[in-house]
Amino acid sequence: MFLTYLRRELLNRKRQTLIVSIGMAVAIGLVVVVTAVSAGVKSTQQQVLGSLYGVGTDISITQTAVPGSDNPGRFQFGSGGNNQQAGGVRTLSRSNLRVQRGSQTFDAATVTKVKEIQNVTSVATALSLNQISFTGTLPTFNFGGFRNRQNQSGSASNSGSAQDPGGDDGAVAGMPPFGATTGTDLAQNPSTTIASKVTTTTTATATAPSGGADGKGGSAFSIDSFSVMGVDPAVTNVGPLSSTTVTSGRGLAATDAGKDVALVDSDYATANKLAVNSTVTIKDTKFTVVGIVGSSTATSGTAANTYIPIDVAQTLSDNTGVVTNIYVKASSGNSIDAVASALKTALPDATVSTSSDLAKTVSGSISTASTLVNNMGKWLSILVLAAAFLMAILFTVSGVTRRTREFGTLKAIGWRNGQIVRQVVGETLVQGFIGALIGIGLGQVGISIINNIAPKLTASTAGLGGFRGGFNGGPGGGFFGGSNTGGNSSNPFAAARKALNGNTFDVVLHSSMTVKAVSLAIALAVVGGVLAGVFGGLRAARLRPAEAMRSVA
Amino acid sequence: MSNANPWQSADAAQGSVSEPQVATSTASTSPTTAGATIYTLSGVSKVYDQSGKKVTALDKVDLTISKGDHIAIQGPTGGGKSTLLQMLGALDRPSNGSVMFDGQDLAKLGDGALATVRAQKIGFVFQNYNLVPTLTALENVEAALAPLGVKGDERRQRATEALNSVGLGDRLEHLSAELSGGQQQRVAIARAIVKEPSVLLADEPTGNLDETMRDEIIDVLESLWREKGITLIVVTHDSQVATRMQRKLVIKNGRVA
Repeated sequence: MFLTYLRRELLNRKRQTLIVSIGMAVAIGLVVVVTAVSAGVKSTQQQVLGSLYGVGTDISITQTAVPGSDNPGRFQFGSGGNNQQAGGVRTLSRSNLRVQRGSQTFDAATVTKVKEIQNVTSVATALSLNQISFTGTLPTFNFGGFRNRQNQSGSASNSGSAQDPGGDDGAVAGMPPFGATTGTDLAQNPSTTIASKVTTTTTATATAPSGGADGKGGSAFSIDSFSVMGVDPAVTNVGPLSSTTVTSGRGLAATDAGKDVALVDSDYATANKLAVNSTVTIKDTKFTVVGIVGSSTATSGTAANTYIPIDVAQTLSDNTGVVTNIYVKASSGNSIDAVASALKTALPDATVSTSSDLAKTVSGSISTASTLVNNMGKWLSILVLAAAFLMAILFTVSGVTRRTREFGTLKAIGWRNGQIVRQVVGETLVQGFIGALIGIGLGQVGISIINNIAPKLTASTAGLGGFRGGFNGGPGGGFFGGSNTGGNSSNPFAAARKALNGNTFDVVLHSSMTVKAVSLAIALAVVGGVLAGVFGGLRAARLRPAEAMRSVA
Repeated sequence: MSNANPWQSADAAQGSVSEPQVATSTASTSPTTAGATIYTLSGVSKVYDQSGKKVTALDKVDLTISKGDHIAIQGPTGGGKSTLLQMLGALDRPSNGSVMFDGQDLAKLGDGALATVRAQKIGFVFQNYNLVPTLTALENVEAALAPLGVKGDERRQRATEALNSVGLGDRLEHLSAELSGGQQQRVAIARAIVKEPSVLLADEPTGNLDETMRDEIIDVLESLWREKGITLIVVTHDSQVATRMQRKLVIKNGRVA
């Protein structure tokens, strides 16, 4: 009887059924769209984060430098090394491999402590380094005639001085005024390998300086900087390499420990014409490129320009036994917060970031979109839902009022209150489910429209500290090739900026119908249906049959 | 005990109105169980509060009704006829007094127990038929068996038999809007009798019908009373209907006149 009555009521009161269902559908459709867009934004954030911290990584541990500990470093130019002197021109070449500025290192005991935390299933470590090569030429000085002159040949035409991001700090000791060579040469003509770049630059500048030891300038210098990440070649499921895909060659393996082999980021490789079996020079050591890696998310770059075995990186950078980053994978999604909490207790000075913490570091329009979806979208959904529920309740109560005689009669012939409430709730539940079906359809249409528009979002991640030029060209003007705008990986400085100052990606927002959205739609249909049914049913149940009879007499 | 023509007995009983607050006895025997008491009302009052004003619908009514009685309740509008019917039908509880029905005091039963009494023992026929408009004739009759827990096939079979007994076996799948007034009232009667109640209460059952239809409905009720020994209580303004009843009660100003 229940089903027969239900079917008859819904079919014979189509207008009421449609009005309530469509009202619910609009609200549910909006919630579905907001949920899907929210999931899309979160997914995009995860892609961005995954490329930086590793897809399988649940928690990242770093430690910021203590105040006053940062040392900008300095290049020492003595008589040894790559200094050459020929034909009145002195060639200088130095490379420096050091921990990213602003980072602090962890020792092996700390890593062991992390591994012992409960529910930690996998730990990877990395040593984040920055390689800076300084090459250039200057005339052979007669130190007796050295004078510091302003407005001489170098400074007048030196575009580099204007672009020099360097402040006044970190001056290279004893640096003379720089020459007038256009410094973009290196940026626009990256050499095939880092090693050969030194040669190219030396050759190019051998004839360029026009000044001399009389103090009239005539020097040229280039800086090449790129990021180097020492990674554990045996761990691939967590850490920076977990979010990369080998596009050429092979990845690192446990057997690569101790070897001078490297993986190169695909963008960096393209910009510098690197391929498998090419060599890259890191702190005067030539590494064989065994593989090219790209981001597995396809929308962003990888975390560093080059990846080498961590033990080699530690030795080369004189950081034996220490790491800058610890990546942790928890046993399950539910245990992430507990593990993070335990890590914070065990490592009070460290920065322990979960993926949700890291998501907060992403800025740009994606952040705005996220805020928009999470705030306005959420409240708009709640508002529309409340309106839809209220409308469903009012229509149901109104319907019950119109059916006073019907319900009064049913009570008169022996129907109990529970039967009547169940009947009304059944009707509104079905109306809710019809609304959910239409709402899911409307939501899918909305999602398709958004995907067709394909809104482009920018995602920026907070960097590891500002890159401030530590070179002072002196009054004669200095030059550092390339403009430091970041994002252009054909420019070695840009790569450096990328590594040091964070990453900016353009990502296309893609939303899709999720199980969560469908589940939510059904849940809302149930809630709306039950709410309307209970209000209407209780009103019907409260009717005393005698009054119902009287009201229609 | 049996009466070949109870309507004649009703005619004979006409005018034998019981004295106020005095239990009446049937002037003629019912077809089956004359003499056994089914209702005993003692000092039944019903007072409504209408916008702060007390309105007495029933005033200390005493009444006895026997099983198989065939009673017409008459009286002026607002005199308390429908209220008395509600007390007898377990639709409402009195403000004071007791309504003994089949050994239970309806005045002391809760809503659930009253619903059970209505579901099992009392059939209602209303002036406006009160059929559920979205259900077919068969489904309307089945609705009376739903609270009794009668399932599927048995429910349909009993409902079909009830409709056959009122001459509507060929209208099972019709909605109420597709039936005439007389046919709708027959469906309502089938709905009232399908559960085989001991009492059938009819509130102006012919009020919306023309004379031909009226006579048809009264014939149906008469045959049910005769064949099933059901206690039939009819509220009516129609003296033609009242004259065909065994016994007549007149209610005025909330009292049995």
